[in-house]
Amino acid sequence: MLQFQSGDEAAFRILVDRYKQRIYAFTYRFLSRSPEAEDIAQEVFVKIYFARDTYRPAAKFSTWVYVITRNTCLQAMKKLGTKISINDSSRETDLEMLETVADTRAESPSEHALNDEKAGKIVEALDRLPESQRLAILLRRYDQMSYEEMAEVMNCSVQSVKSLLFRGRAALKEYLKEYFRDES
Amino acid sequence: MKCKITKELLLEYLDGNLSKDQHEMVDKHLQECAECQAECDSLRDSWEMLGDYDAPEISDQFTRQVLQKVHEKKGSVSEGSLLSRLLALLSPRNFSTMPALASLAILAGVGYFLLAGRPTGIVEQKKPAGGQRVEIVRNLDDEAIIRDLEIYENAEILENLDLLVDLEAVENFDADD
Repeated sequence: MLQFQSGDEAAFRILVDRYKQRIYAFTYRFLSRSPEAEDIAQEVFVKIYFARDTYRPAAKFSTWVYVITRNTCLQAMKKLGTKISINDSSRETDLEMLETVADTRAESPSEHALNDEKAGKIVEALDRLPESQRLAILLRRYDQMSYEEMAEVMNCSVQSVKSLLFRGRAALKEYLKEYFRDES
Repeated sequence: MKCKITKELLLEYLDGNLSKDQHEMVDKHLQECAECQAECDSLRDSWEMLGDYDAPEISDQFTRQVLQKVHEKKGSVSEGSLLSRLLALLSPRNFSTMPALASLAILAGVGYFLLAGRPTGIVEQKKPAGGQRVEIVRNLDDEAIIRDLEIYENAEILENLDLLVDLEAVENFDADD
């Protein structure tokens, strides 16, 4: 990042390559598998490029990246108008994408269907959570962040992070309980 | 340990964030309480289930598209800055700046016409030597003409000298008479 800050464009390319999958995965999940997720992830990196002078090495770089990602996602959600319903047509496009990925992993049709069903259930459950709880769950579960890092990204206290996680996980457990019952 | 306390500590317990003593206390309670054990299992299962929610692989074009967007934005920022400032000045919101802009325009126009007359003057000033040379040549020409005229006049006098001498002789003859 310091190289990039000093004007090294090649360093920016390395930075994009290093973070792109993580950031895309985050926007994809936070925006509930929206087809715009990749565009939003690209926007994150464009913002990083033009905001590079605001980064201070005292802060952890990944945390700074996630602050920009969170803000970009929230702005995108406002722009998109509403949370994307899991029943809308974009889901079909998205499921096709999932199918492509699943195909490359050489899953059997039954495994594939099960994964789709599971993913759909999880998306549905996450969608029902308030934004702040969903954000906390995603940062903790998929990005393995510490409470302190999450507090920085979410601009709140560590105690608030713990509280959001507690309520979010409790709610998820209830929403997914039915699935466990069906599975067993 | 009571169920309420256990449930409050379950997340920290599952994350492995409890002290050794607290961890052992929760462990002990879970072995004795089926309800809390079920709660603990549900929390663990739902958390693990989230692991089945994969994001697709990002497209190969991602980095190239990001760099393209950056360059496009860079271009629009540099082009837009001057234009947007000018447009902002001319916008109705900046109506108060109109008299100042009009004055500037008038000054610019007057200045142009004043400067438009200057170039030849400047050229003349830049070539004083050339100008002088022309003047000198002209003077030399004049002198030559004048000299030629004088010679011509003198020549006429010389040509008429005989006549004058004759006239003078006639006059002297008349006077003698």
